[in-house]
Amino acid sequence: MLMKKFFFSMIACLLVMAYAQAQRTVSGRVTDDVGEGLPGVNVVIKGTTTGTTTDIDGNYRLQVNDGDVLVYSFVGFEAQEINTGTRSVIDVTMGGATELQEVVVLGLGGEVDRRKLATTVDRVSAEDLASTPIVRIDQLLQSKLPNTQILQSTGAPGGTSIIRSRGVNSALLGQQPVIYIDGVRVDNLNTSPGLSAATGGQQNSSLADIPVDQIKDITFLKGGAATTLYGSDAANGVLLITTNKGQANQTIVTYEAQLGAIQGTTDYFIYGDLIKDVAFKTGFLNSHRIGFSGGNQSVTYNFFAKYRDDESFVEGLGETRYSIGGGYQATINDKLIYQGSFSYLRNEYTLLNNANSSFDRIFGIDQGAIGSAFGLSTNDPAEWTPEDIELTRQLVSDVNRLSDISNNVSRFTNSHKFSYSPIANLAIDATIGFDYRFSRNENIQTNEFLVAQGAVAPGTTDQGSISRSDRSFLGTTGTLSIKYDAEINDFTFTTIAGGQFFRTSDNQTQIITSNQAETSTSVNISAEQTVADFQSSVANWGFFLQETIGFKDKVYLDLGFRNDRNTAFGEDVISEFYPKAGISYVISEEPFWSGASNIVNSLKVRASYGEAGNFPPPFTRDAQLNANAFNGQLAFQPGQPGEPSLGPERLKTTEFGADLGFLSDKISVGVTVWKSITEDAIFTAPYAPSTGTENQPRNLGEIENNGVEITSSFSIINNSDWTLSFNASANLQDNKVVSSGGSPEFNIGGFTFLGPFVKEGLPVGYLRGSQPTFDESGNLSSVEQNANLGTPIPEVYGSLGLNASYKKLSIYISGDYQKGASGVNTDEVLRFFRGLDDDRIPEASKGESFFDLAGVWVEDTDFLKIRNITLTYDLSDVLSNVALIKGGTVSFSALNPFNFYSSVFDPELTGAGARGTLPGTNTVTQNNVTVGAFGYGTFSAPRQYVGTVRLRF
Amino acid sequence: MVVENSNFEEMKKYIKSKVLIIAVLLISVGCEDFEPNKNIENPNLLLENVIGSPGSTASWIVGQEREMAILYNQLLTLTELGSDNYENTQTFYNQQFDGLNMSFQDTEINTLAFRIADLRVSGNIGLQDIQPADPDGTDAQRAELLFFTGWAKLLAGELFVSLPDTELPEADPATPKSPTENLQAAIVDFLAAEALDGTNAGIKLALARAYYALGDQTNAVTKANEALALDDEYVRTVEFDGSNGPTNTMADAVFQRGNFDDLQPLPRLDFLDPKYIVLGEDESPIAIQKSEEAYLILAEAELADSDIPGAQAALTSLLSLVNTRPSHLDPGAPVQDVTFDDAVEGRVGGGSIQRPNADSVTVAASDSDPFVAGLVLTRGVNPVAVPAISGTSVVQADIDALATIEDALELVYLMRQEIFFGEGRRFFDLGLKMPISENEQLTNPNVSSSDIQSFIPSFIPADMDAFTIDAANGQITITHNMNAVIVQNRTDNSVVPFF
Repeated sequence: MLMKKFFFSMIACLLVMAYAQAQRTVSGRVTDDVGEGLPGVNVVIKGTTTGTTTDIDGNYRLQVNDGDVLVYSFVGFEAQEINTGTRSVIDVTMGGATELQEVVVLGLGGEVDRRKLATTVDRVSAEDLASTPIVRIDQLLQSKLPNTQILQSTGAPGGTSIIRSRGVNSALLGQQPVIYIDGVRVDNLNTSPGLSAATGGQQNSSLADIPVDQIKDITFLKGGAATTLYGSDAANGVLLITTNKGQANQTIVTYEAQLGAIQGTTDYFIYGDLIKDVAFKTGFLNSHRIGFSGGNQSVTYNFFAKYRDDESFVEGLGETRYSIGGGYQATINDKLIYQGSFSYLRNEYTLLNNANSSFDRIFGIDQGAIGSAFGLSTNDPAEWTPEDIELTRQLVSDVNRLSDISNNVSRFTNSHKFSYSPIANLAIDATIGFDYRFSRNENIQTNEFLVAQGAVAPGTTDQGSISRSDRSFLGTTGTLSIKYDAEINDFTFTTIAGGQFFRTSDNQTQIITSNQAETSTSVNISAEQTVADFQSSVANWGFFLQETIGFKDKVYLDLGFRNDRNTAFGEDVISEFYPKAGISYVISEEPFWSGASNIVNSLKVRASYGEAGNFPPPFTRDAQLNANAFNGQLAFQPGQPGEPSLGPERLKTTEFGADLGFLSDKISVGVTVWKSITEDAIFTAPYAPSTGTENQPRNLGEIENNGVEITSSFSIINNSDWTLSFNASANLQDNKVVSSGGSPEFNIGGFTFLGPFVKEGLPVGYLRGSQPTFDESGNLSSVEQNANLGTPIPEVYGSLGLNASYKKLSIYISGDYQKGASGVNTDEVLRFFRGLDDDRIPEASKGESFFDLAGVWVEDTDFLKIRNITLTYDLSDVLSNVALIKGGTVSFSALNPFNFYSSVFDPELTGAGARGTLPGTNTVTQNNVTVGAFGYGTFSAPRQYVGTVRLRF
Repeated sequence: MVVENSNFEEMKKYIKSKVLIIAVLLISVGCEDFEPNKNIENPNLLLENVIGSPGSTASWIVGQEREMAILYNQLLTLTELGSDNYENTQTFYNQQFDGLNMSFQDTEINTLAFRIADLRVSGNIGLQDIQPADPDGTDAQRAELLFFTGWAKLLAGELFVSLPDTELPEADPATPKSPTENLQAAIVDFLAAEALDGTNAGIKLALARAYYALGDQTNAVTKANEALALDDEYVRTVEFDGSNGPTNTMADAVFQRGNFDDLQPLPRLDFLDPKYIVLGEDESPIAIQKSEEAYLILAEAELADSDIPGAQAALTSLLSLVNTRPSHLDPGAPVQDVTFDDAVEGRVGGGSIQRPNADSVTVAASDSDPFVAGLVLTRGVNPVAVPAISGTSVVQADIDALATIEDALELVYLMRQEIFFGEGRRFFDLGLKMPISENEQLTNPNVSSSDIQSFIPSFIPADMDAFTIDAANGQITITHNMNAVIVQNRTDNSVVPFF
């Protein structure tokens, strides 16, 4: 509350200090290097916040004083400065959008030319996003961030993903980046909440409903040197989303319709055709979005509303979304600008019982679980009679029709930013906003359902139940920053200083009823209710300072730090200090380079060192008791012993790199060699069991990741009719637990006999289990206990993309790959139990304990997946004679069309959850690290064929 | 010069602006209002909040009961699989114990050792911090807490080659204690409990069991008789909570066999399975103390003294007690299900295929023993009377017919096996001991190489669960009659404590 007061008084101050003065008008058109009008270009009077943006055709109009300098900037292009003199018309060509001249948004670090960056920063534009008809931020970015791997844990709605850039830097905490929308930190929980209904394989993620419908630009800062200003919250990187605030001078109405078909993929099933026959359907997708944007020099706006319904590919799965949102900008006077944005999203989706549930009837077909127990003649689908198939179809239909697992999410996100520029070269920004998300996860099991599944005897009327988990999340963020630019001879100085706080509170309640009255969805109408809650809140506040010193616009020195306090730190930790230093040098602009510039037209080298943190889960520092209801009484038991010195994990990153442009930037290559050390890595390593003490997260370990990132893009053809370009990236990485602080290894998921473990000298989450050796006759000759069976972290991964166009027709293809990782084929373990296994175990050893055979189920998980093929046709010419319509496009997309993979299962799926309790404790947690690699439990991403029409009025 | 002046002015302006920036920073950081950590409080319970609060000991004891549920969930699958009672056919429960491969690297051994230590350590906190400060604390509660610490030491002595009893803080881990030392430590706690609560049959039984395990026949017999004198139908159980958990893992393993859960009893014990069931929210408890144990101790003691009639008398009393114990169908059952036919188990097959499921099947305890009927039940047809607390195939005529020490002792061990079936006791009767786990070894410098070796008596075969099937005749022959094996080796220190 006091914090808010602080901000409001700041804003009031800014308003009072502002004033206006009389001016004249200048207008013009901004075009790109082929003469096309550029919409959305910022035109600002230098040294002020007075400005406007170009309309859809690139036109602008602005009040100026004689002699004002106008700055034309647009993300992706080189900014230009033009003295207005006494001219009233100024047309500008934004050319040479070279890599180095591109402007990138760094959030707390301001907006800077890429040439000044000492680290790599990935950027995705609205145009890049438009090519993919997807509504989830993580899926949208899959294969678009060249150095980040995004794996979909499930193809069902709302599921989690695994997001990794630069290895796995924690053995405790989730690896997803923090996400800011217009400067406001939003809920990014990418594991199941502490409390949720179990579905036997799928976990639900808050990333599924991050608003994506009004994105203008996304920047991804990889954790470490690039995210130091974000401090204790930034070891996994920072994803910055900027929303569209509309364009001046032209009102635009847009309408977008999508119609599509969804089909479950059978690629990874043994009996795929059969499963497709008895379980899958072709689902229908339809989506409608209407948008308004426009404004004048003082105020611009952008509003939208959208409805989307996805029937999915199996009866019982589905998703419906309703969203509205807007962005607006008001130029209050030549010194003060207000920008605001909001979004409301309601997401309703239904789920099915996954493989690790006794109510699964689909995955069980492939696992040999559907057999005589269900009245079939055999559990081997290859031997099924037509009657068996019909019976199975009925089983699947019964369970899917009667199951009732739903997730309903309401989410409201907003941001308010005041930019004040009292004097030339000084800019003060104040941002405040919040993200509120409420989700209800419910699993209703009626007696009818239970009887139909054979779980209870026919006629049972008292076994119905509801499991309801409500979660409300509120995150508030406030930032105040001051930026000052100075120029002294050959030196430029950019100073950014500020303070930031965020606070999140996460409250969850779970109610489970028994003997629930049939058809009633009120938990009151049941014989008994049990209740649990989960509360987690944290506040972080800190200040930061960054100084960028340029010399002759070729060499840039970047220095900075952040100092943080956080309520999750132990009482012995007062504050944490994160420094950074970097240098970049644009060699190609030196005179001596001119001889080589025909071939290598640009060359920048860079080096940086920086630190960022990952704060521990709230309250893990405290010694506490476990208090549980037990048979109607309160039971006290000792809980975690506490750790007063618990501090953040500290990621120290060093990177060296070069960005090269060849043949007038027809070929661009970036190479970065990096190394990151996680010091004070938080391990929940066990104490000696004889102490009887629960595991306590402690800053015990050290993890090292290192690698090489190579990004490249090739513009092969670029003329008025044809364009052809493609891009590819390769990320080589190595991960190792350098030190476990003397503690024994510990498990972070999976099974007891085969699971991901953390052990000194091996990668985080290496797969541990018995490695059998068979002799010539196929007998088990030896077993290596607790062997290293592989790592879920790939040696190399990357993305591929192709863009081509001929006149109005364009095609876009994207995909990604990995090599050198391993995963567990859990389905095959189950097939082994049921005598349907393949020949990986010699006949003579099939009677051995599966604990001893563990190693045979670990497979290489190399893959190449094509995520998206989209064909787009620009209808502007066709529609030019149609009344009211100004333009439009039509496109057709095929999502997830091709999968190439080395394993017998989908290497992307994972049933190894990251939810529940901390290893070896009773502490309920969320946001635990997941390394994946347990191919089991849920659906793979479906194939989707989507047609999109976009019309502009 | 002009340029320099201009530079100087620029620099001055620049420095001024820095001063401004730093001033704003200091104001914002210095202002306590900027610290938004107000109301960030741990909603959980802290130890200091509990010490001294009325009723805290009662809640602490409930916590100990809950800990027992967790401990027995870990203990039972291991010890039952590590005996001839149950075989793991295809489950995620431990598979190494079936073949008596008890490696110190087995994480389940580590978990069991942790659970035993947890019971002891939390009992000690109750004794040292909670009960003395509780205005409502009583001597009976103190005795109860001592019972739990003693119980942890008893299990350590019965089940492990050695086990340390480190006290917190953990900086100085204890030296592993031998079974004898752990059992003696258990007796110290039980005697202290007895001094506070002298009419508690459970404490007497606990003492009898600990003395028995030590081979202290005199004290064991004394305490067994004292226990029977106080209550000759005594049962103490570990309870579960079907609503809030923990639920009964063993019931899950033997009754609610889903896709994975399938522990198979030795065919001669089929009629005792499943001892634990689940009905809605009701979970079968697990008996950890029963008056039957006193009679079994007395019978073994009589045989050690070569007194067959004395043993027969004890066994007769035992049999009549066992015959009063309910089945799942009976009103006195912990979880009564009058229609219990065990169809839920969904046993695959019937007749005499690998999973016998028909009362026509006969079973021989070994190839030198006769085929016996009535040991296998037909499931899923009619209600079946599976014992819920104690059951036995022995009838009075068997007791009356006893003529030799060997036969009588084999009968005692058969009854021990049947009566304690599913209670984790057979592991001790077979003389087996688990090693200290890898995590203890890595964190405790006092652990020696011998501590991390399991102990398996030389006469105990790894294939105790093996049997052969004569499908045509509906006959099953168990490979090893382990009760006979125990009796044959009764003078070995690892088995039959009184011999």
